[in-house]
Amino acid sequence: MTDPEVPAVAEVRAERFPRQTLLRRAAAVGLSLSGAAALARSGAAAVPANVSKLLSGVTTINFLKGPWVANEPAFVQKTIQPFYKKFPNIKVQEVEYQWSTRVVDLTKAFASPSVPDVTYFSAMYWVRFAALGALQPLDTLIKDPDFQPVWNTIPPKLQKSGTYKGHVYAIPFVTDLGSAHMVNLDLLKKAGVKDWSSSLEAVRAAAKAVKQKTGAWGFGMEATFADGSWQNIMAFIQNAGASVYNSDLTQAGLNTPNVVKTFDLLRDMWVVDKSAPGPGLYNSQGLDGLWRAGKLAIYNVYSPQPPELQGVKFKFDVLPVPGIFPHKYGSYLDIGHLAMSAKSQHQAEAWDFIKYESTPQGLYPWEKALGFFYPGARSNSAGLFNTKNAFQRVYKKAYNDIVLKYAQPSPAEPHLAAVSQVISDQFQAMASGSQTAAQTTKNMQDQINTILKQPV
Amino acid sequence: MAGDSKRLRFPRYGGWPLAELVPQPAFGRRLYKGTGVALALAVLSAVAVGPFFYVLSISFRNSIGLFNYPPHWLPVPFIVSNYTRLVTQFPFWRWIGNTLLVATSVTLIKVVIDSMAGYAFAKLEFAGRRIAFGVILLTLMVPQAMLLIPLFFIVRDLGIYDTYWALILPPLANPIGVFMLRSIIRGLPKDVDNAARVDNCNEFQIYRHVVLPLIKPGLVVVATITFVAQFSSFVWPLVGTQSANLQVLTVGLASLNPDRASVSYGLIAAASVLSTAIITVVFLMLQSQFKGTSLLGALKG
Amino acid sequence: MATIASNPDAVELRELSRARRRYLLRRSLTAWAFLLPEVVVFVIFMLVPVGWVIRQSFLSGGVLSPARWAGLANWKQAVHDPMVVQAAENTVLFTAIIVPIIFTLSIAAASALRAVKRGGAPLRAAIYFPQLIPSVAAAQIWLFMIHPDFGVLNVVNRALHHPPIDFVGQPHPAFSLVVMFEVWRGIGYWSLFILAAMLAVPTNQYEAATLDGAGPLRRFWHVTLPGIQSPLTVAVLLSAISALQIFDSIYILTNGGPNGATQSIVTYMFQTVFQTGEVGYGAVLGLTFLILIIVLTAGLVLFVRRRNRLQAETL
Repeated sequence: MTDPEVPAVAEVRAERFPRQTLLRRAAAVGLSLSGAAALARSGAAAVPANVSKLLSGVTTINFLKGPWVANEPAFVQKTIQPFYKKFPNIKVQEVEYQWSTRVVDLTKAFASPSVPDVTYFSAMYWVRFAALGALQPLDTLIKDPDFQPVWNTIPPKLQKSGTYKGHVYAIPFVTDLGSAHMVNLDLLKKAGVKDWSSSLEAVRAAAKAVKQKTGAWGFGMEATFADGSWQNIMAFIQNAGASVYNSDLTQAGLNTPNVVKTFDLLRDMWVVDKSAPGPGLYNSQGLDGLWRAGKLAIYNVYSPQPPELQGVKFKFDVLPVPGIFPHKYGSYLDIGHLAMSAKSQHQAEAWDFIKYESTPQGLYPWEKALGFFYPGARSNSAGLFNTKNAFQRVYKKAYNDIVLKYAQPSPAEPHLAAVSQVISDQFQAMASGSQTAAQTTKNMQDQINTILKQPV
Repeated sequence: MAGDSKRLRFPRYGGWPLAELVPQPAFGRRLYKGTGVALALAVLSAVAVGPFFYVLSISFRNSIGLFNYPPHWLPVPFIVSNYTRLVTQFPFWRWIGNTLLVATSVTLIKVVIDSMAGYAFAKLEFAGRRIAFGVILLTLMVPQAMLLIPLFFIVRDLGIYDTYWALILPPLANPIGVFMLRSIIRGLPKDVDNAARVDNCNEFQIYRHVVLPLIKPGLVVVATITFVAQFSSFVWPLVGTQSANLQVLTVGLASLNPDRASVSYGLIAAASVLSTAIITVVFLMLQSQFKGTSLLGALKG
Repeated sequence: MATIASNPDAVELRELSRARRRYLLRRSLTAWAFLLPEVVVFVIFMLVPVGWVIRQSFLSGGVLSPARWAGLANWKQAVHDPMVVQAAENTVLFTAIIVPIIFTLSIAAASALRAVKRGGAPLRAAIYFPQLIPSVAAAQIWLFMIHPDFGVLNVVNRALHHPPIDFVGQPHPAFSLVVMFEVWRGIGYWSLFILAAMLAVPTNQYEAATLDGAGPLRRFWHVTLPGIQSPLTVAVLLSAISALQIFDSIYILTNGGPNGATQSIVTYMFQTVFQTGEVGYGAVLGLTFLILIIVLTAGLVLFVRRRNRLQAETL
């Protein structure tokens, strides 16, 4: 809409004016916005923590963990009843993160205004947060007179699993069986197999026989990153005498001839014999389904769970994971830890909770409810096994064999998430036939070295 | 050229409403056209809707039986335990309630502010109009995943982290609504607003009494798109909230299956079926409220 | 000496310009009053985050630890990262395959729908159905369909005693899975859009064509297609922009696929930020994507404009 009668001079003046108006408006908006933001931030400051404690006498701490059962909050409250009896003026509020989105959830929680006081970390995720300074070192706290004896009963390999750069940040809390082979004895018998566990060669032959003679799958293993396949692969790296990192955690240490030989055997099962379903064809749930339906003979699974095995209609066994050397087994132990946030406002109460839950009295309800294990003298597990139950019998034997003898946790290194992705992805490429074992270990080595050079 | 030698059997199509789908004059051989079209449409509908029924069948079965071959398509034996488990063990209704609340709020607010902005861009002249619209257009290309972390910080610093506002406010910045409504308003008859201006109406009156009624179908389109998109929105609700009681449907679906006690295909299937059924019902209810709305006849510009 | 005040024309000029200034001021104020809510939301939740990302691309750390200046280190890392090239290739390939398929099928579907005389509503609702389902649930549904044992898509294989297709574990099937999913979802939306556009083509053009002796196919080619050219172009552009950005489906179905075979830049960026925690590098990836998509879109727009101009010139 133009005003045709306005002369040129006024036109020029008029052009300037709207821009000035614009600037004035922008300034006004900016001022009011920043005012609003300041108000919001001040308004959002919650009642200070110590004030609320004074008011009610009860401190509430946040406990961030992933779910183990369907109705986790109620389950947690029930399981920590002994703690409440001992510490009546501490209340524990459970906050959940989801396993599938755990890194997002953990990062969010630590970056949010309400940092959790106590966190349960699985799969060594605590290391990254410790490296970023988000966790409180516990070196002095573990010397507490009522905790030191408990700490001394934790096996050294597990004490080390909570240590980073010489400081203790995380107390081992729960572990499970670690990686193992569940075998369907009925299927193996039907295929006429005599040896399915002395070495990886035996496993391969057994798998081939099962596939050819019965049509069921001979070998199954989680082989994608989404299914946590690195937990399965680690056991093979271990029993080949290698490890993911070298001794000072600066480089990868898995490009050795023994690892290549191990991977070659595994690759053959997928690509040559076709006795294992292609990686990704079945996800973890799918493999579980196959197993329970009796269509899988040897299932390399991370941590067989009691509920998974109860009710199966065939005879089974749980065995450590064999490698290329006969009777040299391995097992990867993914231990969960409890840690305390550096920015927690209730450090005393948080430590009380961690301490208590790590003692035998604190652990017992978890063990009883979930069937988890606590290696070392803290554990009451021996008493928990009901050896009338076939699974429990097997489990107890497996626990003694696998967890106490063979299982190794991974070293505390902050890049583990990225490293585990490399391991999983390369292994999957190999198992689907697109590269050789030698190429795979070389790629893993190179990529891990690159990752380790990057800052956390 | 005489158009009257052939009398059209059907009225000419010329406006918004899609409800009166008017076919073209029946030139050509109807029979072959009829069967070909019918076949194509049957295949299309089957492909579109089939997967849902397939999963419906899975949701009524015990998951172990799924591994048998040959497959049984009908759910025999029929169980409802997946559904009962879903609604009793998980806060499914909470998820739905949250999603509905957020979707409705976002839609209502967005329709208002987008139509206002679209009106300004289409009918009002002001300094920086081209630049501002250009900026808005450019941000169409910004992937939401890129903004997750900074939005997290902004939401946290504004003090609305882990509240409903965190779910409602950021999606309002999506530019597609402004874009659409501007082109719809530009497509209106040219002097509708000028006539009102001559009558000394102020802009707001023009907007409210003249323009809004004319673009009602376009508003419904924008509302529908926004509403449906909110039901699908996954990563931002995941990042922007933490409490269990703020979980929306998509985040809730991703959190299913915490225990490995059973193969819970049935549970996931039941969840997918229920979510789909609910959004379909809501959508149909909304569509029946606004009869004769054109789905995107608006975007001609 | 003539002053302004003594010159009657000048006085009138000055008064006119004052009135004009006031008028323009009021006009801009009203316009901005209409724009204000949108602008506020837009600035806070869109422009500020984009600015943050630009700044973050030069930093390292910043989420849980204090940010450190990293200069061009993140950008250099992107240059040497083979996954970036693969992700970019995948992103473009996805779009280049998905968009033409969607539109070919949508035009066909719209033509079929157009011929329906009665009872079109349930058909249209059925076709729109895939769009309705939340993407997370839809992806779950597809994961059921590709299951090797009871998945619909593998039943034929089993009947023929072939090994089942591994849609998640093998690169090519995984890629086609994502394509199929997006096409399945996209047709509902775009076919209805094109249908509306087709119905807006004036019928007298069809009459004229028939009188000139054109059969149904030639009518389609010479009347329908040119008639919907303008909305079709807009649709293709919008669809391409959104195909370049697909995230939810890839994330749920394959999460970047077997060793990056279905990794798009957006999913790679998400993984970098949320799985390995490198926010600075993720910012670089995001900006790379933004530049890529702007370049591609500008190219498409220019191409279309040039073609329109050429057409106009030849007519």
